[in-house]
Amino acid sequence: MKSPAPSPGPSLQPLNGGGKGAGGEADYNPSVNQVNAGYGPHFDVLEVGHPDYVALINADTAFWVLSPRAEALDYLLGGELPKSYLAKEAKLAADLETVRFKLLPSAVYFNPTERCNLDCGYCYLPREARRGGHDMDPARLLEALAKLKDFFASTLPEGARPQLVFHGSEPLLAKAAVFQGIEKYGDYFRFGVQTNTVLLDKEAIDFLKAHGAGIGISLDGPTPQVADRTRRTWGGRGVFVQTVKVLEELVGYPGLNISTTVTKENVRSLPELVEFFHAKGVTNALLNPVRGTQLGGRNLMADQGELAHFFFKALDRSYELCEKTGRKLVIGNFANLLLGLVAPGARRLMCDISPCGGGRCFFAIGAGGEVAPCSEFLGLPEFHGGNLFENSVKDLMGTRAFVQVTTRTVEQLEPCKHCAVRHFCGAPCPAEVYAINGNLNAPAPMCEFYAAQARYAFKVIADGRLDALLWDGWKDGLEEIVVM
Amino acid sequence: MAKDKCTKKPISIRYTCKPNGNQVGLSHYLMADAKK
Repeated sequence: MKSPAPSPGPSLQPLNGGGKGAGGEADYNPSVNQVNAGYGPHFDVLEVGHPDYVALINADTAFWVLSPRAEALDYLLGGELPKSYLAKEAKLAADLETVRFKLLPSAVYFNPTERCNLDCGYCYLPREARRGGHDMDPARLLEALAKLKDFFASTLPEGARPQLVFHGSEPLLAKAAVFQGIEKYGDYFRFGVQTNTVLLDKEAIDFLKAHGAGIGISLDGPTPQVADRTRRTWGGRGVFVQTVKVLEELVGYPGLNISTTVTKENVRSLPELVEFFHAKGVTNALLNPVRGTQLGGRNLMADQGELAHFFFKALDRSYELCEKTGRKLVIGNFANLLLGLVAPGARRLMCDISPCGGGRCFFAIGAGGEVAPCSEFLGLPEFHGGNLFENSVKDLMGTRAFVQVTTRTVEQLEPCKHCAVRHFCGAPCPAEVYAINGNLNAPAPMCEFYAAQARYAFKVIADGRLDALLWDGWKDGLEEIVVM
Repeated sequence: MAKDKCTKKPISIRYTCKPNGNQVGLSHYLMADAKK
């Protein structure tokens, strides 16, 4: 990108193209003169907390440029930025349109049991069901997988392998059914199992590895004193020791995924947790802020300022460790936001875009066959579209329960519709928003945190830290759009 | 007074991804790539 053209200075040139004739060719150029007016391109200026850069953002297309701070006005009012942007606007808009509205469902969260052997304080499923609910028996689970396979085979391109994550509650309480499903459909679905590790013995690990299944484990702190505050058995015993034992057995397995739920109980330990994971050889982890979909989660939500402070410190620590050792620990939910900035279509997680992925990229199935747009909605019966065993998946997708989630966009929401980072946030999460507000038409309860996260992401890019915080090979298969 | 010239270059990065049916779209679980 070249330095900006000299600022045209104050101009009173008419907007009707006047000026031709006596003075020769007009100075008037609509792409320049109409910035932030009429049909001209709009650019918000965003402070990103960097000494040298500010962000200029066209929010509608999620296009941005980090401008040297002292030259931002020259870029805005000079000719090159608007002209270059307008030349690529259609392509940028189409790219965002695709990821927001044109993806096909390709993943399922499947709860094979309502029960759980833990009583985590923030679970998105009601406590009564987790304590005494029922399991899906193996025959029923196989029937469900057959229905899902038929659906995906009729909608996805040939050769595509949808993802199916056994989730919970604790899926290994229905281990026989789950493993039969993986055995029978392992060549079709890409399977994953999200488990609290209590029942994940060597035999189970060997089985899942042999079938190439993803294994997600949950760990909320670097010490039992922290981790066991939220993740405990019904009798109150923590499971940190067991979880770390399994983690050590699984490190190096490419299908390992670690999830941390960030609450007021562990938020201050996030930098130490990153050090802990890195020391254990973990290469990929999620640090997900707890959702307030159920009362327990709401009571555990961290203060937004504190969350931002320690979350960014944890990311800084991850970067420092990468610099020091050459080994990355990618924080997946933040890496996904970075992808949202540099390659929106390559996002892997769909919580920070609107509409969110619930009901359009993935959906969730409960142990009774009830179907909801996302696991977060399984505990909210008014968002159950119907039942997998009674309705076609296609019909379920068209129910009001689904459509009100799949049509919720930031353009409908205050203050989101005016926000420069609305497509780097997505106003998550609709289930949480509904649980707190009684309707879906409200911004993210963690709005300040998500805005701060977007600013931090720009700062990361300005600092040249993008590649260190993203997965290796993130550009593979992508095409660059050069605007400036 | 002459205005200092900034030596910093502007930064803009954007890639597109063709949807191909294998595109990932998950929520709070990240499917790591465990190929058989």
